[in-house]
Amino acid sequence: MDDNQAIFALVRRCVGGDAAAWEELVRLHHRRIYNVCYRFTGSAEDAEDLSQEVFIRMYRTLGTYEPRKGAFTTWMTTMTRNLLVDHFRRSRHDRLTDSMDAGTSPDEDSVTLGEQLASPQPGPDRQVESGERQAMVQAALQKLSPELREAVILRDLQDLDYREIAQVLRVPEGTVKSRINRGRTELARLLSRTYQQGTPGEDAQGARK
Amino acid sequence: MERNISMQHAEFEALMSDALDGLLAGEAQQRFESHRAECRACALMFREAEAGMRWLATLEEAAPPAHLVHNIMVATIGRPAIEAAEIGREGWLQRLRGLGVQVLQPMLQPRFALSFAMAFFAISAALSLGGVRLNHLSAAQLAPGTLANNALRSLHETTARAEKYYDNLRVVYELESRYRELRNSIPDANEAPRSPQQEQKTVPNKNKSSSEQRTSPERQQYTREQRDVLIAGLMKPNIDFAGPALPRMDDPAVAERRVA
Repeated sequence: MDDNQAIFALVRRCVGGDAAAWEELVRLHHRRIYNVCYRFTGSAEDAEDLSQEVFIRMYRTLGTYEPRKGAFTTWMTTMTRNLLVDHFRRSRHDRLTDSMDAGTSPDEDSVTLGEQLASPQPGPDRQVESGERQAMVQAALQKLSPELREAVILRDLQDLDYREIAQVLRVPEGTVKSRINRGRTELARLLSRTYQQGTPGEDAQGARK
Repeated sequence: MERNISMQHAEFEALMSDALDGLLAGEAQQRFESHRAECRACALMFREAEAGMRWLATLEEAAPPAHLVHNIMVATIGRPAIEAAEIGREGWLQRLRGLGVQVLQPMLQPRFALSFAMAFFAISAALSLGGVRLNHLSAAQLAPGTLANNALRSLHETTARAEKYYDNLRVVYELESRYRELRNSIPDANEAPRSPQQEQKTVPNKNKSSSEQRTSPERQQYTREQRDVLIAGLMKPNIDFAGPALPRMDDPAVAERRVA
């Protein structure tokens, strides 16, 4: 029995009213959902609330999941992404204009990434050893447009393949690749402007070590 | 030539993701690398994309709050996570017990608990009044006749105890004494013209109650005076103990009354 079949068996038990199966499903996927929400919103509180919303919606619509339409992870991530879009529209945190060229304008340069980092939001990243660097990358991620941000989160943080990302975002694979490339490039430029230690590539390599 | 280069830019960008993922091979790999070496803009874009990917790779998985699973379970099935896990592992007996608790839970509210407690005390009091002891309960004690007899006996015992207690109360005793004193101090119209013979009968009566023997000083003085009169009467030598003499027929006074 492969992973998809095992997950589907678990889903059927949940639909049948098995509370233990539902808890197992929650424990299996809550970290992934929380991380997607946290990386997209940049707020631990929002991520927690949104994660709960995702699972509440999932609990209500679990009976509608069909394995032939795609993997459970894709179905769950699509639901998460839809909620994130709704949350983004509600909170009116529109950062669509913060593109690669926007950083050259004097008004936007006045609010640098370093200044943003001066008042970072406390979150789980603070608990790890390289918390400061991760907070900087997270802050740069928040500066990306939602389309680019969700694409790089799903690819580079959640390790979904292009086909799955295209299914979640409901765009062609070519568009997915283009968004991922633009997102990565823009992130590197944002960080190179504020992180004054050598070239971005070398810094990133050093950070990985 | 410019048109050809721009097409190569679009193709290069399309292949960049696969190149970064290490998926390019063969001729596509060679064409990609040759364009990257010739075009500075595409080479810069590749370096930046590669750097961005490395920056993102430095992000570690964020740890969700410890209470997230608990909150999700409460929000979805209304039960904490640990309990749900225990339900999954427990046997049928525990499940049955849990079901019983769920059924009884509405009745375990404070108002119902108070009602049950009152009912329990009422039943306990009734059993105690009926003489039923749960420690040594037998079938014979549960017979209706036995229960009725026990209840009656308990009732009489309780009444007797209450009366005894009432009589022993100091307040009641003193009130009764005051009442008797007050009654004795009022001169009775029937008592004043009592004859010495009647008084003589009353004085040595030892069958009177002790309360009547405790008389007031005025009463004692009055009794003493009556006793003196009685003693004086007894001292007369011509007293006729046979009673008053009948009138004689030859007495002139009697004759006059008969004529009239």
